[in-house]
Amino acid sequence: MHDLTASLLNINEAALTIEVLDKLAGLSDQGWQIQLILVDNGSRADQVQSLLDWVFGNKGRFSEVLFITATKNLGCTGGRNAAFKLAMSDRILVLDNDIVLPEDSVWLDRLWSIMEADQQVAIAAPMLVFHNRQDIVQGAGIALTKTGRVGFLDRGKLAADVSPKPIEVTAAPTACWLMRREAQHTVGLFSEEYYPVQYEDIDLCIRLKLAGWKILCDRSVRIKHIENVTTRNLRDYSYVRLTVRRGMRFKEKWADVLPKIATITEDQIYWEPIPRPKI
Amino acid sequence: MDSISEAQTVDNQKLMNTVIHLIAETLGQTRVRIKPTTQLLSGQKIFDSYRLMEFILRMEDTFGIPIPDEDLDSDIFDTPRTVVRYLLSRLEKDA
Repeated sequence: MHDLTASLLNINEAALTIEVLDKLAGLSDQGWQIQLILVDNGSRADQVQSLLDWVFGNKGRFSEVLFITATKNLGCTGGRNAAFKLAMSDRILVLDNDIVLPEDSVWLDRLWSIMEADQQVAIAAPMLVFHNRQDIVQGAGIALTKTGRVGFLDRGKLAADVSPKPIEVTAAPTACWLMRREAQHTVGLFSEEYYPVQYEDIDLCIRLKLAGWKILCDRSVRIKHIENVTTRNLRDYSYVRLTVRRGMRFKEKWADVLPKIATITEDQIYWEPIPRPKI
Repeated sequence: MDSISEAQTVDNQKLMNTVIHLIAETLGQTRVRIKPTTQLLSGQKIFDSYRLMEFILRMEDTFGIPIPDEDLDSDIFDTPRTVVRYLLSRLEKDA
């Protein structure tokens, strides 16, 4: 039996969030002791009510449930930082609400195992695949160019063609992280300079790496990810402008470090659009 | 050349230098030689869509003008020269 804290954010996507919550509750049924920290980032009242109903109906399946209903959008930065501050377990499962978790816990067992096998691993992440094309890789971790461009490794490849061996990566998206709390404590919280979202995860990963920790992507673990659900509810921001603006901040902040940690060139960035249906 | 058009030419040259500087900043390297006629989107493909947006944000910050999405036009951002032409028209309009 393992203890962990699960952190999940919602902003006007209660139906998707509840799907993830159901899977987490299912893990509890399989012997996992989970402290659930659910943060609602200022959703509409009906959305909050749906989550509240779910929490009341399922709270007994967790060791603890903390449901934070913010009156404004704390961002992914603030929402996840709240969870970091309240986490009680040595391992924190950071999840987006647009991932589709399997019914069983094999994926989590594997991530747990690779973290236990190496005490320097701060984050163990799965390979993400497109939820409607699970044969295609969305990203097996993140690599950076020396100018700070982001490349999702193996993006667009057939998942079957990718070696299942775990690899060390520069960063991983927070869609699904198993994180060592001790490592998080050594580098602190997500930086609010990236509020509400974008690049805060890569920034934290760089801080971890500079502190001597490892980020692993276990490519034998495939998790379906819908992608861009978090950002489509950012009413006050143009998604593209926000992404590029946060990228500029990131590039400026890490300008001296990037040439030393770059592992890919611009030519290796694959950003061709891959068609996917609207959810 | 009369003094007014001479002053205008100097201003245009300053604007061109600033635009080329912003392109270099966007690329994150100074080795690429950008000329007023360098094709930014076609040819060498100096900019992809991400870099184009970064360049636009840098222009907004530098010149203090919003550049709406409707102006994301390949004719406007074809070369530094077309960018300067666009900026001149925008700055005149906003003056």
